[in-house]
Amino acid sequence: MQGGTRLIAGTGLALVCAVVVAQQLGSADDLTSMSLKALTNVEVTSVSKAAEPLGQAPASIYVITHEQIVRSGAVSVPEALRLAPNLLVTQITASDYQVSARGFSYAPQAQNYSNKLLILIDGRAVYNPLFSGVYLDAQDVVLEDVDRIEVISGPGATLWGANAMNGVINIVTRPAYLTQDTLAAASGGNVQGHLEARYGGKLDAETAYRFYGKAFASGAMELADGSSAHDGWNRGQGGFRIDRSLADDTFTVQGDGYRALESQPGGPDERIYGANVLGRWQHRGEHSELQIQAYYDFTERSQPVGGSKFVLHTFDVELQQALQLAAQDRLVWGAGERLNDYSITATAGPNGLLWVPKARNLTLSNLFAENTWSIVPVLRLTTGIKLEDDPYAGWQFQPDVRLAWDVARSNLLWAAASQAVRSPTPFDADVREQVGGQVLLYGNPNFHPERVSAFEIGYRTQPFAALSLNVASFYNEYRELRTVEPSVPGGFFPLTWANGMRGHTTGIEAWADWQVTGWWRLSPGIATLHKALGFTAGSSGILGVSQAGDDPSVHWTLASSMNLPRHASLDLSLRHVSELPDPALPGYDELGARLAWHPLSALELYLTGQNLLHGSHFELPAPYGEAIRRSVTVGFTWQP
Amino acid sequence: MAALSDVSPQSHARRALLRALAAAALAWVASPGRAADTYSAETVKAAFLYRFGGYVTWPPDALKGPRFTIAVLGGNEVANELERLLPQHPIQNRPAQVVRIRRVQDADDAQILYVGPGHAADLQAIIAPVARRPILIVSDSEQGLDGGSAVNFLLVDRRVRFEISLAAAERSGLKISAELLSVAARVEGGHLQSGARCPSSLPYGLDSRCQLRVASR
Repeated sequence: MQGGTRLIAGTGLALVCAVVVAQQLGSADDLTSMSLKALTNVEVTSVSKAAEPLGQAPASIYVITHEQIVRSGAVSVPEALRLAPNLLVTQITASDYQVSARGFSYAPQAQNYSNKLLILIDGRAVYNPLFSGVYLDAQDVVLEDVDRIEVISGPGATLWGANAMNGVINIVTRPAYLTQDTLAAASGGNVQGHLEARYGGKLDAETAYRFYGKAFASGAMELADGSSAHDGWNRGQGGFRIDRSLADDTFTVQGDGYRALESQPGGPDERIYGANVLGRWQHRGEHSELQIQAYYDFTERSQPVGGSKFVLHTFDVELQQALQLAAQDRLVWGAGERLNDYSITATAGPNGLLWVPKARNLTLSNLFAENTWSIVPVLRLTTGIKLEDDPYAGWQFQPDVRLAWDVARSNLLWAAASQAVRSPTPFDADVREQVGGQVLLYGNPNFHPERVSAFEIGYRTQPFAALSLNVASFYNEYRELRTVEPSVPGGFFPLTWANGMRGHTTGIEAWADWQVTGWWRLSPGIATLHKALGFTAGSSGILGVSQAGDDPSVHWTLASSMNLPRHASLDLSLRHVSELPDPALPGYDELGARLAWHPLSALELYLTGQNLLHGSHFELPAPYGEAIRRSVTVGFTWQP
Repeated sequence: MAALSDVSPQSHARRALLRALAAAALAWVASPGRAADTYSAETVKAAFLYRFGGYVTWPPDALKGPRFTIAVLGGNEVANELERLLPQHPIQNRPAQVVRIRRVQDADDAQILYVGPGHAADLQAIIAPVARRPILIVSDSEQGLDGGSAVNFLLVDRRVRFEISLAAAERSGLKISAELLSVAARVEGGHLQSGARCPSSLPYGLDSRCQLRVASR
């Protein structure tokens, strides 16, 4: 007995030592006799983040790397977005996530979704132009194929267009020639599971392809009384990507198709379908570069109870050209045209949503130019403007001025001033909400775009190789924010939308990357927000300023990545979200963890836990949000 | 002995199982690792730099000296690995050596020049003085080939891979063997190009739309 105890204690100690002691690494001598092919397959230990491609950009940009995504254990896009300290990800139900930057996250009482953040997947905008906001349950990618996710907080409208008011998220997948291996992965646990396979190959020396399939399922969350919310869901997606790279030209064709079924309490499932295809041609000339891109996107959502349904077809074509006008002067200009062809079937019965008109074609044209001029080698001035012809509001001007100063090597000071808008949508202009056969709320055909003027300043430094620091602060002035108002002055029902709120927000975003040792990296990040909003003269203010978003004043994350001996790794991520004002929710902490082991270089086995600190917790209070359950998952990834 | 006798067979079995598990765990932790176990990225890069020497043809003039030289600019760990490796491993039938340099001009007599990741931002300017010399220039940064190098290291799925620019190799008067090309993650085409290229100098944000040169970690 004593021997056994000692043996166990000894084993524990050895394990601890093994964790603490840096790994024993092989030397290059062992590798000299290997075949070249085998050498390209040698696994290396690295928790270091490669040099950020956007390190010189005068904006608040956080780049989520491939390595971070894979090591986080995320199997869906919103879970991966939790890695960015400048984003707030709020899980509302099993399938509904709201993502925001610099506030304006979600105000359920005013049906105000997070609608000031644009998301693009490989250049395809997935912001919904009918309701404004992003249906994240309709967006998915094979996360192992993602090269990086660039998260830009602050306006990006000059390049990306309307609705990039508080930020832009670019999900960038790898070209097919970098995903030539077969991949198979599966996971399962008490809340969610997934299954995916990808196959890559080459058609000829210049042309590579991949195709994939992915299935995902999540169990239901809980209501406040602990009973099931009956909102479990599943989705399936398949797609492909082909890349052909010639000396001066690159061609990409990619597409996806998906369907999802989401359980509804006491009724048939909500159904989501969609498909898209995108083509892109890039041509590199002597002093210029041309890109032409076109895509078609179809997405549909229907609720059998009440029969409500929307169908949206998007056709988009864009051209842009980058010109090196002189050694110190670079111009990028572009133009684009988008057609949103939609139809909305109203909810039948006395309670529901009507749309007048219920179908329409919305066209959106844009023209932009942005010039970057090196005044002196260490000082770069970027000026740009986007002109956008909005279907509801006409021409919008979205200008941008940025200054970048290389104070010293690896020290960048930047400042920016920009303006951006959130476009009106059919939900703002055309909707009629009914309760008991009476109209509760009319859309406002004269609804104006919401506007922001943003002023930012930031500093980025790498005092030594193992440490990088980023800090950015902003002052945003908002006008014409959406409010709910009585349609008859002095009355109450019916209500309508108006642009009755204005004010400003300030905040700081900061994050660091510290390579503590060769096998351990720590990454803290924090974002603060102070809102000072009020109503304009003539506005009733009936729903209070919280109708613009129920935002915490601070949220922070602390991530730790460790390479353990014997091809094992341990990743932990702690996050804190401070209290929500209205509807009120106390602040909370949550923890994610992933322990992974590579018994073979082609195989990874892992154990992942999410939201480990509580049996369940709310990220938005009931009845708007559900209790998000602790989740534990085991899985494997096989990549021969 | 008395204590042992009142132990039930069940708990005895459990203890035996526990002991076996503990022993297995200890063995797993304490046993010496296999030779080809885990490597740092720098070790693998050093091995590649050594191996490149066997798959590239230099013009005869470039190999007149008695030694084969790999110059390293800004890559201490890679240089350390090469220092350990090269004394026992000749390249092109010559004794091989590594030299650490501070200015690219000092690479003039080298056959291979490795430029570490710290020089990503100004790569083009750094290698310009030797771009037409018969030197295989190997970079280690996201858009390395755009800076004019012939080979660029990438980190893809925890593996060190590389991409090759035939144009840059051609400009340096080097021929790269088909065998090396076949294991490259990507080979960029054959005629000479210069001037503005994808993302490095584009204004912020546009880079991600411009995916032709997406390198990976």
